[in-house]
Parts: sequence; C-alpha cells; structure tokens
Amino acid sequence: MKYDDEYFTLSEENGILVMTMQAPGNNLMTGEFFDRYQEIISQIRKKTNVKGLIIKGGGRHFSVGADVESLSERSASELLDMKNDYDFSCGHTAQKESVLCLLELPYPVVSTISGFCIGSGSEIAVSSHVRICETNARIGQPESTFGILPGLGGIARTIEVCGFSAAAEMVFTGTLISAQKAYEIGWADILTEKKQSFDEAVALIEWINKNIEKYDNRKAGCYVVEYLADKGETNI
Amino acid sequence: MNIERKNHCVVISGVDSLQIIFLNRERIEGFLNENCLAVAVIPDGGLQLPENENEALETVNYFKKLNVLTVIASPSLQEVSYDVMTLFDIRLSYSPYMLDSRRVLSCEQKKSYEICCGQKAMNEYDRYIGNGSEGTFTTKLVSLLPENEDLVSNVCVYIENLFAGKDIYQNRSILSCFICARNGERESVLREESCRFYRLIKRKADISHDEI
Repeated sequence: MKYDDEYFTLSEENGILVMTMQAPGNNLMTGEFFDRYQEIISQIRKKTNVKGLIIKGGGRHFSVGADVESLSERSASELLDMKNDYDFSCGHTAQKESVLCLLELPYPVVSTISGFCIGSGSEIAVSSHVRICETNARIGQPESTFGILPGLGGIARTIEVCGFSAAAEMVFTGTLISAQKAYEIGWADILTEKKQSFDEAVALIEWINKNIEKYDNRKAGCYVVEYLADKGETNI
Repeated sequence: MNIERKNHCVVISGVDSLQIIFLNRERIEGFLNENCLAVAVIPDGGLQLPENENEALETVNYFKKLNVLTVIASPSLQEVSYDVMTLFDIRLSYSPYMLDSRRVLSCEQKKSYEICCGQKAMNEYDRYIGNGSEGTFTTKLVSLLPENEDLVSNVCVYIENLFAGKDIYQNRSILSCFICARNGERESVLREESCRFYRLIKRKADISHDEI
C-alpha cells in the first residue's frame, strides 16, 4: 500500500506502517497539510493486521509546527460561526480528533524525532505511544510566544506524559528543550544518535509484536523498558 | 503567618499547617488581586493536613479549587507529608523528595503521583516497588532550584519566569487548562484548551483589526 504526495508518504514494510511527513518548509503545518494529514489518518485507521506505525519527518526536522499566521486567520474566520465558547468548528474538532486518535490505535505508534519537533508537530508526537529522539532534536510548545496556546491536545498530553510542573514549564515559557532534557522529564522514551531513530523504532515494534501477547497502549512505556533491558541497555 | 504580595504571586510563609491557611482564606483572598497568578507557600518545617477528616477534606478541596497556580517551596520538603506535597501544582526545593521503600503508595496516591510527575515517572515507581528494592526512592516530585540563601527571591524568579512575556489574559487562559488537569480528567483539559485557544485567537484578531 502506498500513498505519495507532496505532503506525506505512507508505506508498509513487513507489516509496519511508515508515515513520512515531507511537506514544504520543514513540514510547516498549513491548512493543506492538516487536510492531507486527516486523509492519511483515515486511511491508516482502516488498515488491519498492522504491527505498528512509525511517524517521521522526511528531512532534517520532524516538524516546525503550524503556520501561526494562517492558523490564526483560519481560526478567526471560524469564530464567526461559533454560537458560544464551546461551539468548536467541525474543522477544529476533526483536526484535534485526528491527532488524539493516535493514542487509541491498537498497535504501537512511534514517533521518531530529529531536528525541530515543535508546536503542532510536538502535539502529534506527544499523542504517539512512544517517542524516540535523536540527540539533535529540539522539542517544544512555543505557542505561548505567539499569543496563543497549544490547542490540539498539547497541554493535556504533555501533562500526562511529563507531569504537571514539567508541562507547565514547557507550555507557559514556550522554551525549546534538548533531547536530553526531554528524556529527563519523560517526554522522550528513548534517545539515539543521529539517523538511528528509525531503525530503533522498527526494532522496538518487532520486539513488541514478538513478546507482548496483547498490546496495551497505556503500557507502552513499560514495554520500552523491557525492550531496552532485553537489549542489555538502559539508554545512552 | 506572613502574607506578602509580590509581582504575580502571593507568598505565604511562617506556617506549619494547611488548616491555618484555610481558616485565613478570606484574608488571603484579599491579597489575590487580578494580577496574581500564583500562591507560594513556604512552610516552617513540615506542613500538615488537619487530623479531622472533614476538615482535611475541606482544606484539600479549597486548594484544588484555587484559580491560581499553587506552589510549595522549602530548602528541603522532606518533612512535608506526601499527601500535602501532591496537593500543590508545583514543588520547589534544593533537594529531591524521597519515599521510603517500606511505605507503598495507595492507588489514590499513585494517581496523584502520575498527575504530578507523568507516566514514565509512575512506571519507574512501579518497577522500583515491583523489584522489592530497599532503601529510599528518589521521586520526581520536586523541581530543583539552584541553591540560594534567599529562597523567597528564588521562588519568585521561578514563578515570574513562567509568566514572563505574556499578559494576564493569556497567562490566565493557559492556567485555566492546567487547573482542569488537577483531577487528571483528560476530556476537561482538552475542552478547555480548545475554548481558550479560540478566545486567544479572537483577541489576536481583534488586536490586528484595531491596528489596521
């Protein structure tokens, strides 16, 4: 199965789906990007007999996040149709759901991160079950520096993954953190050297499929520890 | 008990009981003006919940409903009970908080731990207990401050750093999402994120319109 356009490719190798983001501007998340992302997610959700899903950036960066100016314009136009503060547009609801649905997929979902993984890019990664970061990765939720806040699950999921205070530091300050810091606060599950995260993701997914009878996405972190222990490693 | 208003924060010091804070809540609320985004409690030694169950529940509910960030800070928080520690949003100290391996957290306490420290930290604790380890467990409850004689200044710098570069409206918008997370209910946080996102977008659009 293949899907190949200027924004994404989706391929399958030995039962492992690989979604590669290859949009212009280091995966700048424009309206078009999100439309294509939702299409590809709907295809992924129909797939059966999948061992796992790897999400990665096609170039040097995972994603530089949303195009804030066009996001602000699109969202501002949606405001006109909102009857009240909780009457979210179908577009926003669908977009948010397409990010958060990664959590519910019944097989390992692994984001492999190099370079920048920020804003909505970070929201996709943090809604994955496992995050493998290369040492050059820089992660953050800088929305606060643009006068807004993460609206696609970034706050909720960062709190779940890293805890309240670490998430507060990330979201309030909007500061980018290193891969090492991401690991220390629990955002990153595994650190690798450059260009090794994809192979590590494949190995992890194969290990889970071989050793775990019934995959439980809530235990993904535990599986990572067992996998590393099996390899005779704690981490770099 | 001393109460002092700083820039975005009210500092409460000279207390060893949360009930004293609860009983003085009206006085404290007099200090919580619209610019106040955090309350920092700097205890004298330990900080206890009331022994009476109903009073303890009232005190806990009061702290959980405060619409500001709650911070506890001390050079060492080791004398503060676990349940009091996890009542606060942020815990600041010069040294980590240790748990005795003989004392295993209850389900409710583990839930608090996960909210405070995240899934990975929770898994680490479970492994530590599962392995039958002895001694003490170094929790991830505390954000470590650089050592400084002036703890209050240190705490204020930390808090100001969180809120810097943003006005009260934006800070309160972000804060409201975190307050929803105190009970660990994902759906309420997600809903508040979206609501506040659109309010901030509206304000951004209104500002741009005014500039034109």
